[in-house]
Amino acid sequence: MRKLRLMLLIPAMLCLLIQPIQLSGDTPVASFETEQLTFCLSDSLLRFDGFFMFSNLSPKELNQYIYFPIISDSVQLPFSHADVVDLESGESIFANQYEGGIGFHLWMPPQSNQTIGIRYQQKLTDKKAKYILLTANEWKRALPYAEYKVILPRGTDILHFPFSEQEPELVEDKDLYRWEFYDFIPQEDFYISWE
Amino acid sequence: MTRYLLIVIFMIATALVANPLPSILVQQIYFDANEDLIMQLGYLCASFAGGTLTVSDGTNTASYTILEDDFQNYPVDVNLSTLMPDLNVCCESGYLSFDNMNPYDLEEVRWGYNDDCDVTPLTGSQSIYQYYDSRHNGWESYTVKTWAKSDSPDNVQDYCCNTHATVHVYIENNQSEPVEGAKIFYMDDLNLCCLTDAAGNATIQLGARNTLLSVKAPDASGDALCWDRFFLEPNQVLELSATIDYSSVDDSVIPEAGAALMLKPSVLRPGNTMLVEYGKALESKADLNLYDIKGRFIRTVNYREALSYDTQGLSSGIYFLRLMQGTRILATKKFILLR
Repeated sequence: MRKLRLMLLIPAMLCLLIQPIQLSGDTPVASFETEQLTFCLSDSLLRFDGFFMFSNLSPKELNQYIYFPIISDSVQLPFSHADVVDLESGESIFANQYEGGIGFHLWMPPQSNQTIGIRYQQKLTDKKAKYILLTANEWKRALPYAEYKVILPRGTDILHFPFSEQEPELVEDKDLYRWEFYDFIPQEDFYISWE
Repeated sequence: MTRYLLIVIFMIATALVANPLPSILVQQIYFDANEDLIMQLGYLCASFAGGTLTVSDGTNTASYTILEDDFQNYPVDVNLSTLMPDLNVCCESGYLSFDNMNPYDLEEVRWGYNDDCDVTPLTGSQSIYQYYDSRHNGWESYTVKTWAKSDSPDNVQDYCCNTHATVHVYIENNQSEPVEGAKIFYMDDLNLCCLTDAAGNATIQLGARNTLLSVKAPDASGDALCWDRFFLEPNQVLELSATIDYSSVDDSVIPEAGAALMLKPSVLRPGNTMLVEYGKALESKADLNLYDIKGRFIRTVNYREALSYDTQGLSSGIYFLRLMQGTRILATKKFILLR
């Protein structure tokens, strides 16, 4: 074994270069850090406001295409427009609009974080709304923080809570429900219905 | 059964998903029994349905339209040899680029370039596949997408690394004595990967991929010794050794294991306070240093026992608290300030 090591040592020393640690050229991928979503609901409209924080902890800049599907079906009718904003700079981000969602480029300098705001609204044909959470698990780790707010007209009875049942807080004549999770691994999708 | 469950899950996701997805489109490449080059798309093709994937070898290009139902039938095998009759990649030199509809989202694999997306020629039934790989930058782990080799296309699924190699490293000093505590780094990990033991040995499990290893003396003095890039084959066991100019071991630079820095909560709003507690009693005081996401020092406070840490004056973003005694790092923990 020792002899083998010595044999390996000679060519290894020939190949060894005394130099600083080299950086990899691999393509970094954003880390999904937090989401803070607000669903403002009425009998005929869903207004969605979402803050999504990403980080790029790698020593390289990151340019990643993010596809953000938006539900459209017979209950949640197709959205007409979605705003995507870089909340660090306040600038709008160009988003390609597809039939089932939007796509945009997330550009991040090395070792940086960025919060993206996404806003859209959809007409509702029934008193219920859905939002898929399970795909958050595709980021290969627990989401460090997630906050979900639901705002409904005052006195609205919720038939199905998206998370644990709770009493509303009265804010500006509306009922506000709020849930927050740390190291969140969603087990099911967001679904709410009311009457 | 698992396959059907996955298909169902992703069918639902196609229709309903409402969270961002990271983008890898090409899952793997391999030669089939007819020596045709096959490009395989995984479930993330759902994100690109209806889009066009342009494949280029530098001379020839061809386009493939990603169908709506590709996602439901994943993995989707596309015969590149048929799609590109003049395809000019022999897996000894050249490259293939995969350009989806998004101009900055290029995926590329190379042969013979000795860089990070270089893979050595495929042999037998091997394939090359793309997956998410975790790295560290000294503060926190992050993710990159990268290429590796598999023994068989059938062993690859869902963009996960499923092939590994083992590297045994032996480090000795100029007097041919084994060096304990030498630091072995790999790729762009600026964080400690592992230390050599008292016999000068370290064993590292790595993906079967293009690899760069380097070693530093226990006190981190001097330049790093680096092995040139080499490609690890699936299940390979590789023995490496090196000599570093180092004679004494300084225990003070070896990180202390077994104690963690706890932050409660670790995600909070600017101006709020959090509880900071080190999981081990300290005999002397330590410094609790605050750094921003770029690793820039912001401020320090003394730490002796659990304390309430004020985030006043900090803006939204990602920060790190590092507990240190002199130059000795006890623990580092990330926290997030919300908007």
